[in-house]
Amino acid sequence: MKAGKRMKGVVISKPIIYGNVSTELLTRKTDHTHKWTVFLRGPNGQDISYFIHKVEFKLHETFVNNNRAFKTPPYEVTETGWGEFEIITKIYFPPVSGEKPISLYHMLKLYPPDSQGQTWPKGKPVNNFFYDELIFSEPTEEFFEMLTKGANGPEIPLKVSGNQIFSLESEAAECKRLESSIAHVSGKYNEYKEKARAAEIEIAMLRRDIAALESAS
Amino acid sequence: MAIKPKQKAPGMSRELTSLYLENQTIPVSLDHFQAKPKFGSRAERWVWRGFKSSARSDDLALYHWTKASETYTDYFYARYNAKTKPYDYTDEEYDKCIEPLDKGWSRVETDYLLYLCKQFDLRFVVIHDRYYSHPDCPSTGVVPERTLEDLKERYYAICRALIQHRAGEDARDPDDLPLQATNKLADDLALLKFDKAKEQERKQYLEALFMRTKDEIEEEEILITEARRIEANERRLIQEREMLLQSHCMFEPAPTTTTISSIKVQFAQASDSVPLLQSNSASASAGDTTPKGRKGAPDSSDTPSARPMKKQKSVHGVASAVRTKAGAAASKAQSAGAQSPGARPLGFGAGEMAGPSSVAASSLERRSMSPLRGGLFGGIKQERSEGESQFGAVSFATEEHLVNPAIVQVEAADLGDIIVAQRDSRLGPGVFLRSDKLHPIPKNKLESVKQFMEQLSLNCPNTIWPRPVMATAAVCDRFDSLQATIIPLLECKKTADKLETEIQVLRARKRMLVESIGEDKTEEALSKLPPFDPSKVVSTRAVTPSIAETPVASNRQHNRKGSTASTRKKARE
Repeated sequence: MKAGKRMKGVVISKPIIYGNVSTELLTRKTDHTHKWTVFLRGPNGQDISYFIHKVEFKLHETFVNNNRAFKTPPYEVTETGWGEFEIITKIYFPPVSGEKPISLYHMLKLYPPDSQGQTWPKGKPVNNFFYDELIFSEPTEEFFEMLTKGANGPEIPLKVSGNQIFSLESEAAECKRLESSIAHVSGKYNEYKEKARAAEIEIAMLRRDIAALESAS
Repeated sequence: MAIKPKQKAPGMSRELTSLYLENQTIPVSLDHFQAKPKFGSRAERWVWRGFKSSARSDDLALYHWTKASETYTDYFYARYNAKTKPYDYTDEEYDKCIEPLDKGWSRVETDYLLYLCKQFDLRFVVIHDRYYSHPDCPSTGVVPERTLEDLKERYYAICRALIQHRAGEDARDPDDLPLQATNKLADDLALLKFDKAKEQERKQYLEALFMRTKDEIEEEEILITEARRIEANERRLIQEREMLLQSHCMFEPAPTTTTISSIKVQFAQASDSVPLLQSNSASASAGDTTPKGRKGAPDSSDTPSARPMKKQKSVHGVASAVRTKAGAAASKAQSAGAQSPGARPLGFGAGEMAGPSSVAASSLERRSMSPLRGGLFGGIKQERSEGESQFGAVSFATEEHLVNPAIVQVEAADLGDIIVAQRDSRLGPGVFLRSDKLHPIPKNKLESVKQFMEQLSLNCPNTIWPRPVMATAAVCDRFDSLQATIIPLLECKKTADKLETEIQVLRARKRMLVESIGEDKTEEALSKLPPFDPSKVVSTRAVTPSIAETPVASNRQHNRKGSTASTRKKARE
């Protein structure tokens, strides 16, 4: 499929969330211990299919039909298993976009983090979500139309609620935290710089003294 | 407990048992060499044969075993009997070119020297050894106490003079001579060069080296290793200082910092604009008290708040439509619950739409052409989230919603000027993942940076590379600057620690010197240093000298920071 003219300088970004949820199976028929779902969706639960042609989840080879493809939402796979492995999520874009597919590498997470392993309540789902943005740089005119016309409703929720854990609020909070860390780190840096300077002065002085004493002895 | 030699543990092989039990001989199987010699061909015949050597002048016949098949002409090793051909001269040549060379040498002695040279094959050590004891030594005319160098010098001087003389006698013009011949002359002269002074010096050195005592040798070795160590340290330290300096440079005028400041400027603008925005929205809501707020949309296109949108071209039609919708929703929500805390963000939202400057524009870019933040009001539930946020408990102030990435204005062919996040502006065509486009960290620093990030609990868990939890453009901007700050910090800390150890070493050295010299002499020695006052000498005797009064800064002019630091310290005290 020939791709149309690209629009120079135009950049459009679309937020996505991918990751997995896993819950421990309380009744086990096989050696499978967990039920998990790996998914790709919009942060606000909105439709993202208007700029996606197909999504492929590549599971571990031991799964039956380990390459699961979806042309329509929901883009998610629910399975049971016992082991963590890397899932490659391949996102294909409509042919008019002329874009190559993009791959997300996600480590399936079944067990709570080690630090909380003891206190984790039985049956509480383990979430491992990632927020990311797809940046469409210089899209073709047709794809640009798709990207702009298809949007419907807000893409990022204002506040955290339920399943929507990435929000504008959390973005702002994250920025604030990062900024305070930058301030903290620069402060520390200046502290050490000062220390290094002082140390250099002292070294120079000690050298001088030692030289004098050596020539005296 | 003594182990009986015959004791055998059950279930263990004999070898294992003997390995396991001490003091027992381990049986080693010897491989007997059993390969038989192979006779591929018949053995060759050897004969006892007499031979003569051309190297001998006495015709002595000796015998040895050789292969019968070998044809034989001369003794094999005779070829190594190379004879040197010492130069010789005629009377005429002597008078012409050798006589004026050195008045200290008589003809008799010169003849004698050449005779010895011939006899001993130019082995000057032997020549020198026999010089006065040789039976052919002339009784008169031999100057006593010639050194080896004297003999060599004389001989080579004669050689050179003869070569030059003979070349000069060649009737041909030197320019006509084939190049080879001139080259050969130059080569010969170079080969026969002898520098007596240098030779003597060389021997003196060797002598001195040979005469060292054991103690001296040991001392020298210690000194050499010490010197090597110091050199290595110096190099390393210089390198580290340079790196530190580089990281200073990297840090101080760093573009990342400038983007931070630009972000901050935007923050300032944003928060400045908030009151204005709020008043705007307040007036809007005041005017529009109907619960449905249906007038909100058309109205807002007339109010000043909508003006910036008109500037944006048609693509933004979608966006502005959404915005207007949002405006309507905002005013609706506001009128519905004006007193609830949830109303504050709404006020902000309306304000964002009204934002006259880059704030609105950039947020437009962010959700570019698609629903904007303003559009959130329509759909969002105005309830406090009960669920645990992944980001820790943070209370939100209105203006904090205005997080914007650094932005640039880009001229797009089809749309006119649009505003794009700085970090997105140079990607080139294609699809990218936001988190893939973070500034890469040098591989060797990856681990330490990651660790540091984790200490600050800023890193996203479960990833190989450091990555922000929520990779939006604004967050990524700050994340990049944070990393750009962490790397120099780690470098700086490392250098500071190194310098600290160096200080410890130097202090110890100084203390040692002070002890060995004695305090009185120390004081005396230090007081001779021009920049030190006696009062300061007192302070240097203490383990920690005061830096404030150190005039060392003048020594370190290459490093202006040194002087500023000391003046600052002075000011503090």
